[in-house]
Parts: sequence; C-alpha cells; structure tokens
Amino acid sequence: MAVNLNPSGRQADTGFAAALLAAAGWAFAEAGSYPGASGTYPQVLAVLLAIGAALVMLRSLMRPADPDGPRLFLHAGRFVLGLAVVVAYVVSIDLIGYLLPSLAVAVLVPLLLGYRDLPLTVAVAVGTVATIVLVFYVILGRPLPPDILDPVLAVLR
Amino acid sequence: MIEALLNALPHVFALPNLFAVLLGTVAGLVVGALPGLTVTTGIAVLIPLTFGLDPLFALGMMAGMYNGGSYGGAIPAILLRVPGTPASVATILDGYEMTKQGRAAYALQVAVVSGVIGSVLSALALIVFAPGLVKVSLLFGPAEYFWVAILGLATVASLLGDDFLKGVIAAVIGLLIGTMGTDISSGVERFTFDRLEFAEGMDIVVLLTGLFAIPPMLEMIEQAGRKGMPRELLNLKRQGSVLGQWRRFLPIWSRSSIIGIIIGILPGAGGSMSCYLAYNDAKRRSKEPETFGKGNPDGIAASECGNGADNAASLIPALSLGIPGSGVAAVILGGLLVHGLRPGPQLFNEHPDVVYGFMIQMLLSALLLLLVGGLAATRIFGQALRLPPVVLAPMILLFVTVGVYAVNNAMFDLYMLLLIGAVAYVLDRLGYPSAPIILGVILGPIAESQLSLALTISGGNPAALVSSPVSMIVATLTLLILASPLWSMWKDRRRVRSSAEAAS
Repeated sequence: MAVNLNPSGRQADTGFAAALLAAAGWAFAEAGSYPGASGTYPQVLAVLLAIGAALVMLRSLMRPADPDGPRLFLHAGRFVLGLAVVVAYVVSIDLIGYLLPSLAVAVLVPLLLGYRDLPLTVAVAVGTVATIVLVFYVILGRPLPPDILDPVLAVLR
Repeated sequence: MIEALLNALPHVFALPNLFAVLLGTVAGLVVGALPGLTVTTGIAVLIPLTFGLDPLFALGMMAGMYNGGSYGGAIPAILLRVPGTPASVATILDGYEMTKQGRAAYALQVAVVSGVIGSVLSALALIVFAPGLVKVSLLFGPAEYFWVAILGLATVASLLGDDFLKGVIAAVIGLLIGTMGTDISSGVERFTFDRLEFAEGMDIVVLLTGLFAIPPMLEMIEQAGRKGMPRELLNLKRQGSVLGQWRRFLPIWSRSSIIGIIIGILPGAGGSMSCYLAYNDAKRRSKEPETFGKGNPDGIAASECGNGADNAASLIPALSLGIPGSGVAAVILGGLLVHGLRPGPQLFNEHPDVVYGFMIQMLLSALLLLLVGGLAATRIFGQALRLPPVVLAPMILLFVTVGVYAVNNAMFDLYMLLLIGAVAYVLDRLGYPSAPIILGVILGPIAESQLSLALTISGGNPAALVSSPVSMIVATLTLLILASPLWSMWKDRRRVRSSAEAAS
C-alpha cells in the first residue's frame, strides 16, 4: 500500500491536538515551579488548553475517516519547497547578509515554480530590494543584517 | 480656547508645516503598509530626525505619521492578509475575503473612508472635549482597567470563526504566550527558556508577522498561481462608491467612533483594542452576523473607524496629564519632551499655539489621508496584486524579513519568525483562527497585572473588583457581550421550533 506523506485532515487534527496536549502538560509542569500567583495563572491556562486539545482529539477520532477529504497540505511537494526556501533564506541571511539571498530568493522561487517571465521576475526582485534598501536603510536609517556587501551599502548613507 | 485655536491657525498653515503634515502622512502610510514596521517605530525614527527643527514642523510630521500609519496597516491586511500593524488584524477578517471575491478596491475604499471618519471625529474630540474628557480617565483605577481588558477579551467571541472550540483554544494559546517574560507583580521570569530575548515576553511584531504573513506566503507557493489579479478587479468605478452608501455605514461609523474615542482616552487601554471592540459591536448589532468574516464591508468599516478614532483621542490624557493612551502616544510624549514641551495642564498655558496647532494638525492629516490614502492605496499598493502570486510570495518574504529584523536588530527574531510561521501554517490549515491569539497576547498581560494590582491595593479582597460604579458598568457590559451568543442561539432555536410547529 502506498504511503501518503500528506496527512488527512483527521490525522493532522489528531496529531496537532496531541502536540497541544503535550505542550499544555509541559507548561503546567513548568509553571508549577513558579511561586504563588505567578504560577497559578499559567497553570489554569494550561489546564484549559489541555481540556480543549483533548476535546478536539476526541472529536476527530470519533469522526469517520474521509479518504477524499481535504489534506493538511494543499500540495505537499511545493510546501516542502516553500519551507526549505524560507529556512535556507534565513540561514543565508545569517551567514552572508540580506542583499544577495533576497535577490536569489526573489528570482529563483518563481523559476522553480515554473514561471518563465525572467525579465519581469528580475525587475521585480531588483525593484523590491532597492525599495527596501531605500526606505529602511537610507531614509529610515534602520540597520540591515550584517552583510558581505556592507562597504557598498555604506556609500548610500 | 477658540482664541488659542485661531492664533495657531497661521502657524499650522505656514507652507513648511503643511508640507510636514503631508510628508508625515505619506511616510506613515508607507510605514504602516510595510509589515514589521509599526507607527511607533516610524515616530521613534522621526524624533531624532526632527530634533532642532520648529516644534510644529516636527509635530506635524508625527501627526501625519500617526494617522497615515494607522490606516496604512489596512492595505496589506486587505490585499495580502498580512497585517501592517496589530490594529489591522480585525480588518483582515473581512478585508481579505473581499479581495478573494474580487472586491479589493471597494474594501480599500471602505477602509480609507472609515479610517478618515474615525480620525476626523477623534481629532475633533481632542480639540473640543480634551479638558472635560480627561476627568473621565481619572475615574479609572486597576479594577476598572482589569474589566476593560476582560471586556476586550470577551470580544474574542466575535473572532472565533466557524469552530468555537478551536477559537477558544487559539485564545488560550494567546493568553499563555502573553504570560511569557517577567511577571511584573513578582519579578519571576516565566517561560523564557533562559533567553534574554524573552525577558519582556514574546515580541508582538515577530508573533504578528509569523502568524499572519508566513502562512499566506507558503500557500501562495503551494498554489503556484502564475496569473495576477485582472486590472478590472482593482477598478474603483466598477465597485461602487462608499460615500454614495453613507446611509448604510453611518450607524457603524457613529458607534465605532465613540468606542474608539472612549478607548483612546483610557490611558494604557488604547492601541488595537478599539478595533476589536468596534468590530464586535458591529457584528453583534448586524442583522446578518453570520456574514462577518466572510467579506462583509461592515466589518472593515467598524474595525478601521474604531482604529482611526483611537488615534487623536489617545493624545487627550497624554497632552493634558502626561499619561499616554497608547504606545504611540507614549512615543509622541517623548517627542514633545525632546522639543522642550512638558506635557500636562501647564502645556496648554505655556505653549497654546503649539498644543492647539498640533491638535489642528491631527485633524488636517486625517483629512489628507482621504486624498493620499485613497490614491496610494488603490493606484499604487493595489497594483501589487496584478503580479502573479509566484512573484508576489518572495516579495512578501523580503519585506517581512527586513521588517522583523529591524525591530530588535536580532537574527534571533528571524529564526522565531520561521518557527512561528511554520506552526501558524498548520494552525491555519486546521482551522484555528489567529486573531484570538493576538487578542490574548495583548490583553492577557493587562488583565493579569491590573487584577494583581487591584487585589494588592484592596488587601486581597475580590469585592474591590466591583466596588465602583465604573467597574460595575464595564463588568455588566462584559457579561452582556459574553451572553449575547447564547441569547442568539436561544432565539435561533425558538425560531426553528416555531417554524417547525407552523409547518406541522
């Protein structure tokens, strides 16, 4: 039998409710170490969260399975691509700065998704990055993440 | 007062000061429309930039930034489901639905007209009622503020979405996140994971952006749409005029303005609470409450009008008593001090031309918003939707990333954005509404700290919570709001039963 990596709505509902239940348990235990009312309030909230999560779990388990119903991801493959892009983008910003990863993401994502109008994509990418640098860095004086192109940016100020 | 206003007029209408208001309004619109940048940030940036300039030039820019930024948040909220500011979360509920239905231009028009009406009435309230209204805010102590926060939380009932249970869970998640950071009553650090970044709790901008900007961006990538919105869907003329339908919106504008002004005046209660209360009020009174959250323009009108009405009103206690009504008002107070203007009753005596001039500038910027906001929103920002979603998705990512980083200049925030965004995607796909999470995070800490303060003052006597007429009124209002869904349910059942009996 083929394994579907995109969970059904029922499976996802149950799994997420279980994760919420675990988080509520952890929050309750953690809040127990806080003195007085500082701990009581979050403990009450954790109990409420646990009750809610248990009810959702029970409800989804009692619901009949619907093999044709909506699944967690709209398109599992493209979701993985999107998430991978976001993760790679943030890590790249941390490593080499904002400018080059931003240009790369703005050009590559449409290409990877099958959009072939390269002139428009490049124009939008350059225009967006230029606008961001102008508004945030030049006009508002907000810092951008440390960048390997900092010497170039310094000229703009 | 009239003499002081007349004396201030020539200063306000001096060309450089007029230009300052215009510049501030445009800048505010841009700042509000950029997810991650808040009005507070914009004004904080203006303070050093305008240092040494004429006070009315500086205050004119701040007035423009306040009103412009307040509306600017609605633009990405309606077009992209990304709230520019915390106050625009309620606008998303119906605004984005209208965009999906091809009524983006009309939704933007409702937002700008409603925001302008709220802002104008708020500015008029600031000018006319400032001294008298200040007395109202003096009636509020910790117990009253506790009830105001609970009243705000009670409005969560209108934001729960289709699944009541999941809506309640979302609100509890928000309340739990709101407990993160140092408990001000005991000094205990809660859920900080020994990270200094969490000492003051979860950053609201990071949370907001992760919850509302990342899921639609990921969904755009999943859908991989290669065609943008057709030009005709953004054509104003074909979608009707809001001003032509003023009779429909008038009751909502009136009530939302009053709500926004009252909430704005209460020190510390302002900001995003007014838009939720106004939205809840409009939904509760509507003959079709079930259409709210599904593209009802009344929802946008209420939210944006309440939001705009909060602006100038939050400056009433700030200018008169030196107590800010919102975070933005607190930054403006700092701006006044930088220019040697000490807020308080003496400000009205010592610098009447400046203080009344500033009030007129708030009114002026509200009116300018209609022109600048209308043009910019529909003719510039709206055009972003003509780009194919596959091109638009990375653009959103670029803007939110730089905006989130700019809040604290920390990479940590970007990693948090990533984590929150991934969880928010799952929440979104499983039908957990995000708005109650934000409401819980904003109001939970206020309710907890004010309750603690009220109980400490009364020596632990819970009766102190309902010992004043004001707290009793607000508590009763809260109970009424909480009971209203039950009342509607009972009425619906009765209607169904009677129609079944009639049929048989």
